[in-house]
Amino acid sequence: MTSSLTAEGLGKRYGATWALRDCDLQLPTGAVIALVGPNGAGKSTLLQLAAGLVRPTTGAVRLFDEQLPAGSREALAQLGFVAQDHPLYPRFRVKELLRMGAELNVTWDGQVAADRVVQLGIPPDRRVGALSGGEQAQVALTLALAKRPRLLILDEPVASLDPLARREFMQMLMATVADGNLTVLLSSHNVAELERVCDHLVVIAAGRVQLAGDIDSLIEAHSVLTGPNTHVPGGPNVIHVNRGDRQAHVVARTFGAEPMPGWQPHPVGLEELVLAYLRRARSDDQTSEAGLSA
Amino acid sequence: MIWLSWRQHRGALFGALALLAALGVVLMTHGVAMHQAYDRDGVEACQLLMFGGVEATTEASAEGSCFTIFDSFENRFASLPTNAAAWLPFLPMVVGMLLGAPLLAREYEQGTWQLVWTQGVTRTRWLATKLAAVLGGVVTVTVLFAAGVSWWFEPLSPHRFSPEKFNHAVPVFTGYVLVALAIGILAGVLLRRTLVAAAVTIPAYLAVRLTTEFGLRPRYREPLSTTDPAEAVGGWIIQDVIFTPSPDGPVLASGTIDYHPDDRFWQFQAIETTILVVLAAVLLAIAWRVVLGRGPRVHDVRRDPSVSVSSSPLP
Repeated sequence: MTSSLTAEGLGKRYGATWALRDCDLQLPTGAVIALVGPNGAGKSTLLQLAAGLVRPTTGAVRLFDEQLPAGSREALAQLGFVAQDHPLYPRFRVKELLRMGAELNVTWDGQVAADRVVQLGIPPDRRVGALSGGEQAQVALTLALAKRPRLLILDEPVASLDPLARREFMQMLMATVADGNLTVLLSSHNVAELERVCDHLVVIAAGRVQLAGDIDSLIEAHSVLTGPNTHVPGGPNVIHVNRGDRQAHVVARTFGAEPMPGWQPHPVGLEELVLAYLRRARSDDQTSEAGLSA
Repeated sequence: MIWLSWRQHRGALFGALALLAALGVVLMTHGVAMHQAYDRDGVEACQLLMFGGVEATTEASAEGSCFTIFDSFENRFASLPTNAAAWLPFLPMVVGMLLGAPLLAREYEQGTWQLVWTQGVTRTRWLATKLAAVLGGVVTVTVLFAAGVSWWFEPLSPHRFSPEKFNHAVPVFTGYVLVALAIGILAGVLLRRTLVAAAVTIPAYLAVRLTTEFGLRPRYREPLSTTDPAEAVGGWIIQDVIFTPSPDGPVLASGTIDYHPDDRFWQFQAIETTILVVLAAVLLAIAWRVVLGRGPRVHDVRRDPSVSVSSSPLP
């Protein structure tokens, strides 16, 4: 497998709090990779580490098959990064932002950038601060894409947008990804939004990676089992148990195998799968905290 | 990269040029008139007489007429530059607050550090270019400004060690501007908030200013001591003697005069400027480390043997 990003033992501590720890990841190239988790799970930290914006406390992140250290000049040249809330200089005009991109980058496709701005109907003379949130997000994406990156990292790209702007942004993004071997790594806390567009999934919670893999394979490997409340299975392959009055719903790694007698398998939805891992992470977290305080 | 620095800070540059232009107007009107009157009316000799206790040497400075000349000169011209001299010590602080504090704090505040550090330029180069552009611009404008002010203040006092002259000489004034700018920048880096950093700049600058001007400046060298007031003329009197009046003129009552002679002026300028520039450099070095320390220690791949592509073992 060719690799767009490799993390080994990656960890980042702010003060006494680990924002991310023991993170081992290998992400494929040419895919759209969703980084999913609740707010404060460590998503932004992982993405900032990948962009070389913050220094890891432990371990390392390297980009591409060349294993370029995150933040090195070579890695930066091939990376497009849009931070959360797509920060831009509000007093710059749109065309001045594009000029900035041209000045600061070796590879810069000014034509693509200018065309995209026209296509979006954004006046190049408009000040960035006067643009709508959706337009700002589009300009930020344009800046990142004009670098002709191999890896595009988007941190919560649509979180601050209204539903219409969200849709337009995702459509624009997918159209761009379709014609190229660009790898996109985007984070979100909204799973439903990603379902249609992503190939690969990384679930992160409480500063740790909970699940990572190709979405189709993950869906195939997991099932929802419905059975009697009295005999609920256990073990490491049981991710989450939802007890009802008489029946229990269990999200488990079944690898397509036949379940125990009396239990009905159902295919698992992506959102259900993610939620199961997030709930498990939360209860683990509470357990470990209870253990500490005991 | 230079273009970005220009685009981000051209507003400050225009503001500085406007300030220079305003000073230019004052120099062309008030300054020129004051200098002409100073030369024409022989004010210098009278100032020496009034301030310095020198014997009247020229016929123009016979005591009665000299008082009139001095008084009319003071009345006509002294008020504006004296007020300016009282307020100008705060100008470096304003530079620190308006230019230094937001310089990096605003990048953190708006999140644009993430935008600019993920372009194709390493943050070391980004920071070096930004600081060089801003420091270069500030030093250039400050030198011109201080030179103008120094010329303007020339007739105010015959003594170079007078505060209005010493404080606004090019080296020391530039030193204070650099310190204030560095305080603002470092506060912005540490606090990451423009307004808070600007507020912190005020007490920090005042502490440096008061300590240097009133605590250190008189002690750069051991003052000379004398009991003859004539020897101290033109110098900076640190401690004066007490005279008592008598029918034969004032009589030395007690003590000695401690003073720095006038020819120490440039030495004192050099010492104070060095202190200020070194302090500014230390503050900027800390800011530099903090900014670059927030990211990974980036090393050039081609110079890093641990990630060489060909992993052939050493012979």
